[in-house]
Amino acid sequence: MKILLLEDRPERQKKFISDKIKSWENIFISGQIFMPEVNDCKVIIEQINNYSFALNQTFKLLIVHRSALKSSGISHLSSICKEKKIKLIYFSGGISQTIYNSQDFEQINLNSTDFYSDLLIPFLQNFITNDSISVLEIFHTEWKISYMMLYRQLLRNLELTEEDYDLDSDRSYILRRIEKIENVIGKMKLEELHKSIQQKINYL
Amino acid sequence: MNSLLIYNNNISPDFVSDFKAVMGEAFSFSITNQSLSNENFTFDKFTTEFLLQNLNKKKYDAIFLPFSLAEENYLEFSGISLGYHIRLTKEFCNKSTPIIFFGYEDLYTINKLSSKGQIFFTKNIYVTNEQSIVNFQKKVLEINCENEFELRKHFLDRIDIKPSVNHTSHHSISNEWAIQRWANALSLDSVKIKSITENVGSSLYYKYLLAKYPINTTQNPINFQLKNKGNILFVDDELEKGWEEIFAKISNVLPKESVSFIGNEFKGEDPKIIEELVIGRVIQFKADVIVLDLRLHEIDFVEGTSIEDITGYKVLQQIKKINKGIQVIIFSATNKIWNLQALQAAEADGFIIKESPENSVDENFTNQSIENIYKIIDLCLKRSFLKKIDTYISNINKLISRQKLNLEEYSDFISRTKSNLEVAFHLFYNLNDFKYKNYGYLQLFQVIEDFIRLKNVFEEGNLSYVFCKEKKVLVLQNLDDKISGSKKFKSVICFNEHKHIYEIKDCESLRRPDTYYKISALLIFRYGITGIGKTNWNKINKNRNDVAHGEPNVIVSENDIIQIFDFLILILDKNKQNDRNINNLITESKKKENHKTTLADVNPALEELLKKMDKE
Repeated sequence: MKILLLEDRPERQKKFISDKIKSWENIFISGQIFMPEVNDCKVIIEQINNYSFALNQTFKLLIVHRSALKSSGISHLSSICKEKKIKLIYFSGGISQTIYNSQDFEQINLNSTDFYSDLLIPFLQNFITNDSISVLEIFHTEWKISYMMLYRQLLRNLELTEEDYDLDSDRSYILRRIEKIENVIGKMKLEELHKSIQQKINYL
Repeated sequence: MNSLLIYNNNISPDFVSDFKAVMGEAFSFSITNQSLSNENFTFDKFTTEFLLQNLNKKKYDAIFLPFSLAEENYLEFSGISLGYHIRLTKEFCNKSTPIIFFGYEDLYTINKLSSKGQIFFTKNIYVTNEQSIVNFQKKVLEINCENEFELRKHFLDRIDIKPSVNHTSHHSISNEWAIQRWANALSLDSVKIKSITENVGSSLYYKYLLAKYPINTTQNPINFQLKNKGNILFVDDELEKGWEEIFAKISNVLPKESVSFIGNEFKGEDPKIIEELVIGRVIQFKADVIVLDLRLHEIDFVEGTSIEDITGYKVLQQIKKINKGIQVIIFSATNKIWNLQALQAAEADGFIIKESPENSVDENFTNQSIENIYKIIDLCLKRSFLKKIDTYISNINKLISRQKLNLEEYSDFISRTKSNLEVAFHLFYNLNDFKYKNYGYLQLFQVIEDFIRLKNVFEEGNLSYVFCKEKKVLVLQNLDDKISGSKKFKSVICFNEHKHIYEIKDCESLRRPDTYYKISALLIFRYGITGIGKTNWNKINKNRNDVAHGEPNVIVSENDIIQIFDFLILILDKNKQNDRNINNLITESKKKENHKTTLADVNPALEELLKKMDKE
């Protein structure tokens, strides 16, 4: 099992899958997604909230309705994800701004409408076959544009930062960030980057 | 210069230092893993705290913001979101300060990737692709001074911030909106109400609503009071959000023991349990009026849920099964006419529509809403009298149904009576119009008239009999003289002109036996009542005549209605039959017989009975 999906409000999920029942059912055929029924889901959420949830399965991704968790549950899940390097997707109607963070482990906070979008099923299918994909893929079809724009911002700011070879310096921090992005989208010069971004934007 | 730069870790630290040295202040905006791990974390709350804690009370010449403040996902465009917060956070003193966004994207690109672009097309917003101190300085010099009032108006006209699409959070904001408006109109200024508004006060949507529809503080505070009495139960799953305080204020003239609240207990319960909790309280508290929130469980907010599946609707149906007279006022934000129609068909007695931001366009809406709440609660308290009526009706229906008579005549009587009672209930519903009350009274009187037409109750003919238990007593004999044409009746009861009632006494009369006579005879011989004045029959009959003849200014009172119901309960209950007056009559007759009078001529039924008794 790769994915644990905890949804304690099945009605909104039902509404989402109403016109795509077949493809929704298909993603469970592989047996890689565990989505407990509402009562079992509530039991697991209770366990998370009281620190008694032990992750025995080899899950690579947890998807949880954030509002179901108490402060203790959020802290418990963060510890588990940090320790086991598990990716985390939180969705909730109360989230008004998407927030992605990969400091300790990869996590994204999404509004439930953005979560239950046309991207969900393809994302889950992709994750089943390749669990190294970024959770950003659930956020935007052209998620790579996000990396490219970030890359451009960092490259331009690197130009504004004085040369310094101290490993703890601000320049080194920017350089490490640049390297991380280059591992995903490859190395590019600024001109080439502008053109690639423009091309992608034109196709949107 | 007194400018402000808000930046993240992707912005060159050297650039930030230069900005501070030449242009003003700079603050880092960074959402850490630790912030995200906070249960109550929201971007809006984090941003509001950032603005108010770091920058409060400082007025800047210009504010510089990168398009994106997210360090890892550029497309979040959180710098633009922060721009909206600067414009709409009234406590932050820079609502109209020029904002200069910087980044390497053009507006076409941003608008293609995000729905936040409206702000770029408002006054005092500038955009630059060149991140340099020289360029930033140049930008500040280009700024035009605009009139602040005009700027705000222009901004609010141009932008349109949507609520979170999720049903529950929208619900929450609508709730807080109505609470704040109504609390203000009712001059409620408690710490609790303040903390309630602070809870959602950081939401961008809420800030937008407040800016667009500011609360009118110049209107006179509302000073209504409930005039009628009764037990009111308020049912709402969000009582603690402020509804309890608002409804406590509205009902504050009632004794404390007449007001009850339920809703805090609903958290985490299934809809079925919620229904049971409400019904249990309705019965235990003997509620006369219930203000019932329509949506009591999260499931009720799922779009597309049919009205019949909503918890409040189911509760309404159950309450009406207990007693149709219990007044149920539906409390909801719904303005969907088909939902309101369905609720009305399920016998909802009134509606209180929560004020929503769309309504607040009309600045008088809040006061009108509050006035309407007082009116509808008062009307329902007045109508709660129908609770007694419904209890009487169901008791009467039970009484007439348990008499196992196979006579076709009796089953017609049952169906006619049920129908008359139902019509009467609906007529009494219109309490504000006395005509309907009077018509309802006549409808009840019709039941009395139908009852005396039953053959096993009163048999009318040349010889008329009253039936009691297994006996029948001759009460009236027609002494018409066909030759002379004179009409005369011989009766065992006689009208007392002084008391205006019939009493046991042999007499001859020219009066035709009307309903008043027949029922009087019934009271005396079927129910063994001697002082029939105690039954209020004379008053009931008088009311009926006054109403039926359309006497001016005749309005039956609630007391009159109760009297006629008590009377119906008396005459329709077969267990109330009492033959004591028949027996008295027999004893009296026996005495007369000893004095050689001929009872058999006057009362053959009694004669028969006496014979029977003698045999036994």
